[in-house]
Amino acid sequence: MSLLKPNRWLLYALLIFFAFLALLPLWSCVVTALKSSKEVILSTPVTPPMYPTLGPLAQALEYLKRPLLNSLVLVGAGTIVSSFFGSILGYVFSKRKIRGCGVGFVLIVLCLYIPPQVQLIPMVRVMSNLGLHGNLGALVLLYMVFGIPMCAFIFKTLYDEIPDSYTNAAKVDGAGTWTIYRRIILPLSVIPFVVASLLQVTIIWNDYIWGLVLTTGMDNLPVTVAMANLKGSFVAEWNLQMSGALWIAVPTLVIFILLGKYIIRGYSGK
Amino acid sequence: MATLTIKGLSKRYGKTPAVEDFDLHVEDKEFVVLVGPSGCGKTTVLNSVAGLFDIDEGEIWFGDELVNAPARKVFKIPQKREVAMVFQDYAIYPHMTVFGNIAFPLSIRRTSKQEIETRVGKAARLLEIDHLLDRKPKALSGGQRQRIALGRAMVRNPKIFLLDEPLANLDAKLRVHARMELKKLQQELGVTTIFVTHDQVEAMTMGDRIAVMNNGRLEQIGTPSELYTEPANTFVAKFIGSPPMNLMEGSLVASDRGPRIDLGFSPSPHVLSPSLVERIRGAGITEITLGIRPEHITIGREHLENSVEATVEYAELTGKEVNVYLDLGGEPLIAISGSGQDLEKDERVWITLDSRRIHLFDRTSGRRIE
Repeated sequence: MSLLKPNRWLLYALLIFFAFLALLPLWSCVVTALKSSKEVILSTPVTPPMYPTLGPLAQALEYLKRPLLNSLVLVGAGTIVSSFFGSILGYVFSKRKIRGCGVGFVLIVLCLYIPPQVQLIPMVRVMSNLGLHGNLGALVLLYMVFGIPMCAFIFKTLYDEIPDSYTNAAKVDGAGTWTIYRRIILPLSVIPFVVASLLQVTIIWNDYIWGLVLTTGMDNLPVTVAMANLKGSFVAEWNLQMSGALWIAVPTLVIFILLGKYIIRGYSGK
Repeated sequence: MATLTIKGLSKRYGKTPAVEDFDLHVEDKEFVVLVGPSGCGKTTVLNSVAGLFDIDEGEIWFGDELVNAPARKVFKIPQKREVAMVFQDYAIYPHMTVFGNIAFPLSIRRTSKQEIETRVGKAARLLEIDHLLDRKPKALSGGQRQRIALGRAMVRNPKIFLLDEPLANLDAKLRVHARMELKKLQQELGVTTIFVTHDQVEAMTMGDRIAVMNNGRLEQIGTPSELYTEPANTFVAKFIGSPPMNLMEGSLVASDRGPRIDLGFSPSPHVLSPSLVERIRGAGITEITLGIRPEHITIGREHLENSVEATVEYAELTGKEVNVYLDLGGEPLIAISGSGQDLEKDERVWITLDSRRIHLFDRTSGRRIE
């Protein structure tokens, strides 16, 4: 048996403490979701339920059914379209190197740093002019376009790892730009597609502000916005809110646990 | 089949010149090796021929067809040049099988399936990789990958083969074998070939002719024996041959017995015959560099006429020969002697330079004095 040094003990104690702190809200969320309304009032948010019930979970799901579907549509459309265009842009920036390409890439990356708050009012006006305001279509279009810069960035950095000799060899062998993309680059893009899709899925799924300002009516709400409506007008129904929060958090939670290493690749560009 | 002519090729990357005023003519079916230290511009020449970029100045002709001339705004894209290239890393596509890799140039030309199978099969049999066709390249060895790359290059009967250090990634033993096979293959196929390497042994053993490059310029082009026996300048003299040629600095001085060459070490020997001295005087040069290949130095234990005393620094047995590192009055010198001779460190020996095999260069320009 090896004895740990005192400072190691301290380190582990701190790490366990922080892990506990981080997990506390999730714990509280799960136990509260399993309590009846009465028990929520009578107990603290961290005590386990005495009489566990699935009632609030079922009730919340019934309420969030349509918004969950809406969010699925948004995630699907936004992810597929922006990763496809991101992949083509990434290919051009990484392998075609047309004049002015570097500046173009910097401009695209800069788009990532424009805060949404600045764009709120102009975007509402643009969508109204397009006749899409209040509609789910507005969000579909927005996520498709807004996802492209980030996807282009991810694809470019990961395509940089594909040796230039692959594209040069294909060129000498007679392949044009599109053939090289289709026959060489695209089949080697599994990892960038996974990375870009994961990031897109989590960003779109968790987004709140665009759904709030661009959509109206229960039929058009994404799940995060609908969730906010669960809070109740006069009495706070904590168990219902926590159930809703669980339904929303579970998909991203699963993705992070199973595919987290790809997300880290996306952020680090490695 | 085709000849290749490069006239006055220049290519700059930003402001750094990579190749300057480069001329080369390659005959039909000839095997020309471009050799030089890393960064000398040899790959740039190869990429220019392939058309991977437009050159800055000069002209490139395939036979009587002009493929690149910036002055006349001619640039034929690589897809249409009918050259095949093997890259240093082989550029084997990892997601395709060996068959898919070799068939790639044919399949994008929409060759019929039957034709593709016949031609890939033929190439694979010639390269002895026909048992690997269904495999993915991931698990294959360096030698096998190199063959796949060669297969992909030869399957479409190109006009010109461009090979960019295809043997650099192989282990030493395989490299010697591959050298021979590649040369044999080129002769069988009869395709005009340019082969780039930084290894002078590869160049000497494979090339019909060798073009030595340095700092983006062509130093000399000739057959292997021409380069070895008559290097045009000190760079080629030093680059070709292993161990390299010994170069010593000397000057023409007057003495009471007529002009002689002072090589800086004393007592100054009569190594230079009067005819050599005449050659230097005839060229009107006083500062020279004298070159002698290691195998043209004889090591003896007794003083002979024209021999000089030197000290053994280190002896390196290579097998049938010994490379002897000598100290000649402060100048390092390498000689090759038979393995029978036992030489010890710090031993005093007498060395004789074979005066018929002495090379003379102008020290300022580095050029050979004829």
